[in-house]
Amino acid sequence: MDINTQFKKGVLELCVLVLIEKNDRYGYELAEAVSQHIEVAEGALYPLLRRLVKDGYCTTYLQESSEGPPRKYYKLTEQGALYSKELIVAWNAFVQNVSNLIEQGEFQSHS
Amino acid sequence: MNKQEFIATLHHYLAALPEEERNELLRDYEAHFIYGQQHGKTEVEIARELGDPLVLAREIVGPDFLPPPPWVAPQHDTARTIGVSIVLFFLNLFALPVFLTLWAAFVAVCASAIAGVLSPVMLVLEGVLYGGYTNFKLFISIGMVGAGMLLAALAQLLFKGLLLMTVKYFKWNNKTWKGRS
Repeated sequence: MDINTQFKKGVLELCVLVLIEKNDRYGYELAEAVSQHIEVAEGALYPLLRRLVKDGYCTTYLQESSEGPPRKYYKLTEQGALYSKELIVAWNAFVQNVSNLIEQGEFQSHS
Repeated sequence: MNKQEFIATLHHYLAALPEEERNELLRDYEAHFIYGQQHGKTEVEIARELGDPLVLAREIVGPDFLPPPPWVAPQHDTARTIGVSIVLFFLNLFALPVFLTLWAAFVAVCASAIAGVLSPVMLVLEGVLYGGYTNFKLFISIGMVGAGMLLAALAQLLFKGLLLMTVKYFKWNNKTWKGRS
């Protein structure tokens, strides 16, 4: 497993929360939307979504579809929206810190 | 890896989960396959995008994950194939004539229906060619038309039933012969 895979797994939760926050989505749709931006094992979505539901960050509802089985839509709860905001703040701070560290490291090694 | 292999492998590795939870997850994956196919992807492509079932199962089950013995796709069992072939051969030796007989009966019913419905035509032909028209013949002929229409309705029912039976029987044969996989 390359390092990149670990990174992606870590941010998958954040990506999913952000996507659901914009509008309710069903599993396949989420997988497509995530794949547009990052290459990730789409199968990891379903256990993640289950966990989000279990933790109260999402709820699900079924919607009949003219084609295929009913779609299970995921909807962000209030608690989920709060959690998503926290995650985004934490993520931005984290990225900033790591970037600073890398820049400093480069600066020191060149001097 | 196709859909069935993916689901079966995942099912195998998720043995530690409560059954309800496992089934729900598997249903999610099955639905994912269906939607993927509707978007023009093949089962193999979708399975590749979903990732390795073993890795997924490890993430799902968590730290307690003890990999069960590796899942192996059912192998071609030659002995079974030979045995099933022999059994199916004798079964068909009996069943095929039965089907043939039933279809022959269907053809007979059809023929009777057509003959009944067309009997006025025959009456007219007879009258034109040979004369000898009687009211009695006309009434009989009208009666025959009624009987023919009833038979035609019966033939339609028979056809539906027989077709369903025949198709099912041959599908079952095929499935049994190939075995579950």
